[in-house]
Amino acid sequence: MEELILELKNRILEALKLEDMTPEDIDSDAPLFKDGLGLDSIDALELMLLLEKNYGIKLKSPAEGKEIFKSVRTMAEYVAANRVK
Amino acid sequence: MAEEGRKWQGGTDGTSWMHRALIGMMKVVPLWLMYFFMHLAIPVYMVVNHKAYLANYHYFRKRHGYGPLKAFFHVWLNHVTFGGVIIDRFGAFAGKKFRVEVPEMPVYEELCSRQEGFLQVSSHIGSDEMAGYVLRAGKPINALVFGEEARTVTENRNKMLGPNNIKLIPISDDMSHLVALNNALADGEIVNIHGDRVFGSSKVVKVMILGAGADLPLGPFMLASMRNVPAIAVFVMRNGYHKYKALLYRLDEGLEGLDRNARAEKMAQEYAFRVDSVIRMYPDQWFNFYEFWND
Repeated sequence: MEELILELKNRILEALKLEDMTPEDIDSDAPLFKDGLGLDSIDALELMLLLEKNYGIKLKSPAEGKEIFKSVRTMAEYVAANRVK
Repeated sequence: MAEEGRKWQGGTDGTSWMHRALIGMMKVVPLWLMYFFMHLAIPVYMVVNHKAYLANYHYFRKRHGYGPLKAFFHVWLNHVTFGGVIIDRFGAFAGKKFRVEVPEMPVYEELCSRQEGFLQVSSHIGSDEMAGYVLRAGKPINALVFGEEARTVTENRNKMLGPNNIKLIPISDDMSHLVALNNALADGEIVNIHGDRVFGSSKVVKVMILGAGADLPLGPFMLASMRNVPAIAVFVMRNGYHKYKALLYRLDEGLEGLDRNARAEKMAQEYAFRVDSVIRMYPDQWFNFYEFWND
């Protein structure tokens, strides 16, 4: 799981062009939106695309987005359980 | 300028029972009589809703360069036209029929015939609602709507627009609307978003409309750019009693070789250009009743 978390952090930094940050700067359990990493709705779309392109995951129901994108750890757990590539 | 004056509340005035009564009444009362009563109510509305009046007055004074009297007259005309559009909306809920001309229908049909989905960018200009009754796509249209919109309006929209394959997606705090929009485009469906309101993300595109600076939301254009799908602007203009004309413009031409951000920016600029040209043709159908421009 820690390996996947690190991989996701790197992909997030790349997708969101957060060039002045490193994976160590992202707390695995901190909220991705608002108070934590401070991402917004456009960034949320980036994360959805990231899951789709890299892991073949399309979120099944609109309601589950909030839970999946709570933190990098919840994202990693979802990826581990649902990845098709 | 007070920031409060630059916010849009995003709902139709009146309570649910008022809307239901209006729809019930419109089943028996002819539209012309409703328009007549509406004319009587407009001066009262202009006084009561002073912020909207002022924003509209500034629009005619600063953007169109009208003198005080002419601007005042056009604010009244604008309110009358808006009232007509609202009456027509409830008339459509009550089953009244309207004639909508769509000169660019082949463009729309060609886009609909493709396997991929596309983005339809609408505006608070004219009556975007009428688009839902006339643009039959043959594939689902997912229309993003403001969550604050009155329940009766949403219920009736669902009832009337449902048979036309239109799904209403309310903006929510839990990002479920983003998942729904993203999935819709991934499934080859159509997504409709207003391009003239900044919401959700604070990321904006700086544009010039009628010679002055304004902000457009980056989100809708970025969505099309990220998914690499076509985008069109749709304006449905009121052209008289029972008559509308839909204007469609491709936003995604000349994007070859550009990166994702540049594509989104260019589509937003093209949309702004179209908004500019449409409101020059139909100045009285600008229905953003708040201080839209940055000055």
